Amino acid sequence: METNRNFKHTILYINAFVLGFALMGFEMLGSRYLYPYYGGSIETWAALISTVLAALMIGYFVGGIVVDRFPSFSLLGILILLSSIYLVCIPKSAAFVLEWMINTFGDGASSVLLSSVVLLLVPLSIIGGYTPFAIRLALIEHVKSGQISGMIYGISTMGSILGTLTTTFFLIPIIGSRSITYLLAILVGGVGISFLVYSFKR
Amino acid sequence: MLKMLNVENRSAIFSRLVSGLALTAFIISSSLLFVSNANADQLLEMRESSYNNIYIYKRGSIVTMTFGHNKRLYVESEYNQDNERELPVVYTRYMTVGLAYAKAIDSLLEIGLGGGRTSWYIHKTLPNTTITTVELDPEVISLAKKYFGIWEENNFNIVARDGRMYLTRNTKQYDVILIDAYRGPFVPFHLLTKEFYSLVKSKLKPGGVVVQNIEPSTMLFDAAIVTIKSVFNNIDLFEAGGNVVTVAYDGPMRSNQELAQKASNLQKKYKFFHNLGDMIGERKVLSHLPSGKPLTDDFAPVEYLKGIKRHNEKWN
Repeated sequence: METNRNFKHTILYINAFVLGFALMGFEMLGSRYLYPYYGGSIETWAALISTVLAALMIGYFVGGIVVDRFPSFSLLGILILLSSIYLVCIPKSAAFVLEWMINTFGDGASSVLLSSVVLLLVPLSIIGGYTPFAIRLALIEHVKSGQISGMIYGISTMGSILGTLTTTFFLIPIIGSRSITYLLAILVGGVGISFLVYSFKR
Repeated sequence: MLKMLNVENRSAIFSRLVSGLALTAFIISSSLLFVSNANADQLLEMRESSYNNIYIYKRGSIVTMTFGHNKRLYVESEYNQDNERELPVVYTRYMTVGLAYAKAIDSLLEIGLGGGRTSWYIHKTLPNTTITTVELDPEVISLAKKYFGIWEENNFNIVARDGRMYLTRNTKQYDVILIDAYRGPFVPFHLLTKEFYSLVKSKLKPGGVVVQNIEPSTMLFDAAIVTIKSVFNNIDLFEAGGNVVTVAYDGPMRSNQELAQKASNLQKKYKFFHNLGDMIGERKVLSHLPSGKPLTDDFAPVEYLKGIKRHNEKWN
């Protein structure tokens, strides 16, 4: 029983790290997708940052409500897999989508914001929803709720810091943006699969 | 009593000493201030835009635009108020060599304005050439107009926009395209990729050329050369006051003789202040391509490349 609980916590913590890593990795990568179309301006960054924050906001709100109704590892696994499938589609479709956006909405502030939303909001909202999901699934007793939610947030933010730095200083200099997208999408997919496996084995 | 006097004396001496020192310090510091004022740059204006911290300095008759406190790194443009026709920054003179390569010189596009002196110089020398300059930062445009003796008029237009966005959204074609958009600390990767140069190429009239300024001390230089060469048949280099100016064009390679002839004709006709024929004489044809792959929208680690110094191998 004790080892089961420890194992459950371990998998939730590790995956919090991986998803935090991927979240910020995608934020940094987003600029590589948007620059060729919208130019290298501070507006592009504002669009990206606000999109990522909007995704977290949606994830926190919706994730919290959903997990109270369905506190299920398999549902979490499926959602995260869907997120990774969305992410895998980005490299091949980005050029078409962004060209269409620019031809339809021009290249102003609303267009770059919309493009960044189309690119990232859906998959990153799911990743954002992981936090309330994980806290609810990890909780066993009320007295530990502070510690557990702190762990999930802390570890996921640690992942985010490393995701930002690794993507910028290590991945972008050695492989292309498309390859990095696939790499991060695979990491996210791995998280989804790990939850599905965990829920079947339990 | 004696002791008292002594103390009084001492304090009198001390206070005299102090005031003497203070006076000396004042004289020295004020003369230093005077000397340094005579020599130093006078800050005319500082503006913070969305993209840059722009400083306008003046020293004697030279007005300078910089994008940071470190002038050695970030000088963007210089203008000699005493000589309208001079281009004080050496490499900007070489930006004109492309005119001798181009089949026609009816229209010219410049990406990256700075103080605007390069395109203004060409405009004043070739008043019949339609010149458009695209500059990302509206504050740079406004300061250039305020301090660098340029203004928009017939055949001289300035557009506030990202260079690549302007090319994507416009159908016009040009005889000469000048690119001088990355200097100082910022390297916009999307103006250095194969996709970007292909776009530039599609905006050239037949026989058109692309002239670019590149800083040669880092690996970014090699990457830029390889990328340009992946899109254009030919690339020539001009060593220009610490920078390198490249001229890229399609079709058969021009001979030295042909270029010299063309340059001297243009020189005779338009009387460039900086002699076109002399500069064309310094042409270097790229003899071997640096190693490495062209930069693409997908893979363009420009900051990383810029961080690596080139191993002093000769570039020509």
